[in-house]
Amino acid sequence: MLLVIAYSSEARQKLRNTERAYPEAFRRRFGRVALLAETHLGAFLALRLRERHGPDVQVARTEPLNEFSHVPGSVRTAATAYANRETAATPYTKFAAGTAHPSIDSLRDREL
Amino acid sequence: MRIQVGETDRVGQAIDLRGTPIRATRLAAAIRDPADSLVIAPQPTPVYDHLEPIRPGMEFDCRVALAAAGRSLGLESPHATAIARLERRIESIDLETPNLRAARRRAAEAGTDVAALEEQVARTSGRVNARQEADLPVEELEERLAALTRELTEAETEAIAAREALSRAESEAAAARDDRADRLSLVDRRENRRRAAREWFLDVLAGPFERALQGLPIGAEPAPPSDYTGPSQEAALAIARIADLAAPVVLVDGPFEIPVTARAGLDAPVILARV
Repeated sequence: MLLVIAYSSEARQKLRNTERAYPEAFRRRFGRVALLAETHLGAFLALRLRERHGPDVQVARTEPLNEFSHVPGSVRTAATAYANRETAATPYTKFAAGTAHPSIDSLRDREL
Repeated sequence: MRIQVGETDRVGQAIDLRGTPIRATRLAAAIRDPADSLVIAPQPTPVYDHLEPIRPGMEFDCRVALAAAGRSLGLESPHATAIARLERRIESIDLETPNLRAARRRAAEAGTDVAALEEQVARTSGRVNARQEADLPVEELEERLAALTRELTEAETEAIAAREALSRAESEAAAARDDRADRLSLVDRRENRRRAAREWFLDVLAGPFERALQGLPIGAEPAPPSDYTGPSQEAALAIARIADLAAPVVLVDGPFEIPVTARAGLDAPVILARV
């Protein structure tokens, strides 16, 4: 999908008006952020906004994350284990200490 | 005030120009422009922007005009300091705008070049192999292949450089967007304060507005501004009566028959003019 973020009140207003005029091209809109369908219409609307409002409009392309293709197994396993931990109050740092799970620092520094 | 009408000057606090060719919009423009010699008069206060000229069917935002009228009288809403502080913070944000478009285009073109050359290298090398198998001379083709391979290497170098430049520009843009997001949240806060200030003026000036409507020779039912549903021209007259305009107010199509009653009714210098 195409992610569109507005950074000024004018751009935000224009994004709202665009959704009103072309609801079929909008998958979601949250305030000044919208996800547009990946169609020529979606691209046309996103580019028109950026042309009009320049750096006040950010356009990015998003895709669903497949954790089995794009995320290392250690990260997947850690996420699953931490989400299903027995004591909800345990912070991750404490949870990972003394286990094979990666530390927050090593997670932070590695690019996906 | 002094108005130049043909060869003569008209001087006074209440002037009737309905019989002259000078139009109301021309007068209003002259009043706001100190360099325009048509009208010599004190400079208008900001509320004047909403009231030029006062005419039937005029479009104006009563709440915004009323707040401006209150400010012209020296009233200050309890939000004024916060609004000024937000204004200063908004202005102090320096917005960087890295040129992402050029970087995107460069990266895309470099990528296309690499793909095209890769295809040519593959095709040429296939032809070399085919000719070798058929025992045909391949010198010329091999030279061509070597040249293409060099070009491909250069294109790949450019593509890497272009991708890196784009990624640098995108990081700079991400930092610049943080500033833009901060600015937008300050702008939103300022707008909320402005709305609150307008509500405050609406409340404080409700009585004067209603009394002003009562005191004018008009048909509108006197009401506080939040309940007012009458004609815009009559609300504008009430605001003109409340406000300190400094400059002469230009009136088109009534409701005053003669300039002196308009001057008395609005407690301001007036010009009666034609559309």
